Amino acid sequence: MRPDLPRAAVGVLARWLLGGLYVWMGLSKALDPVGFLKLAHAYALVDTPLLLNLIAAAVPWFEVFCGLLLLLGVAVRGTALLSALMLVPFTALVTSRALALHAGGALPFCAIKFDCGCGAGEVLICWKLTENTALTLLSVGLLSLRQHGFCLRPALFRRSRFP
Amino acid sequence: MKADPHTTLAPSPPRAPRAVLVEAAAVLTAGLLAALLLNAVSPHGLQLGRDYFSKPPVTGAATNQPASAASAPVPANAALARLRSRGLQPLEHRAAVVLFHEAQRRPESVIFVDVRNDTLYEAGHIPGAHPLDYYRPEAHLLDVLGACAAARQIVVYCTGGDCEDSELAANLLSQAGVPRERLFIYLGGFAEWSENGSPVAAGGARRGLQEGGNR
Repeated sequence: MRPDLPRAAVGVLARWLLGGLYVWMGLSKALDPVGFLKLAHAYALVDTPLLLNLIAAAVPWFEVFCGLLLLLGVAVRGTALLSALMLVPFTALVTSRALALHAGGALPFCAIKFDCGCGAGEVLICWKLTENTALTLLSVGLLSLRQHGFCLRPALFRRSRFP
Repeated sequence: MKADPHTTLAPSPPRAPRAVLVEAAAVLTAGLLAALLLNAVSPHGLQLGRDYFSKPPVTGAATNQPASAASAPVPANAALARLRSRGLQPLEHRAAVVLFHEAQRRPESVIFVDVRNDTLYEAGHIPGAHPLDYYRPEAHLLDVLGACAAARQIVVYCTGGDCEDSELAANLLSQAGVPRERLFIYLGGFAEWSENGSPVAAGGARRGLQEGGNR
């Protein structure tokens, strides 16, 4: 089978873009875990301190981990699946928070700006939702892509038939 | 010619969804383990067993006010009722200034505790305030508790606004044995203090009210 170069090139770029963003956003939170803890607490997701601490401690480094796997090309489809699975609930949470802020104020929805705990500081909600949708589509695209260039080990448990 | 594995396109073989799920589960497990390990070794890591947002139980209205500030109005916002219901005394700017001057005359009797992080403390704080990063109290807690043991009035502040760290820190001090009736929460915090042109000091963590400020 002859590799489809344009698709593979797009796949590499998508992987590096997604991986780079995960590393950047994960590190910005991992280096200020208290800040992320406060933001996670503001979502009132869990009542148990241990669970809240686990989320605040693990999510940033886990994002960095996934980002590195994508950048290096390791377990690409499994990581892309996790990325999509993370982005969907994150986006739902951010949306619900923005809707709550919208309901309590007079601002138009797209003018709502707050720190969603995503790692990039305060962002306009419509920009954030667009960004998350794009990242989710990139993740789904990587999940469905079968050709990967510049990968150390695209599949963890099965050696590729192609060198 | 042998292919370079880093430049050759390597199509993954078609795989069943189950294989992708197994791979995702492996990444999830390894990633979470790595994340918790990194949190444990990071100097910024969180203490998983600590309740960072522990608040005192609701006990009813507080009655105590500092003698020198008893007639001063307190800020009118929702935080007041919350603080009083938890047995903590809110303090407004004028009362904080009164206590600040009293602290200069009697530094053992009245102390200020800044519960923001070290970076913010060093950038500017109320002169003489004891640093106590609420989220990393280990470095200063013993010093602050020593100062609190002798003090009759302890003013705790953070950034102000929506910041609840002063309330949380007051609860921490209370749990460590400081009588709650001696604890006062300066709700406006450092933002209100500096906006009103009150004295501000910068630099590292020095103890006591002998510290000079930009008067």
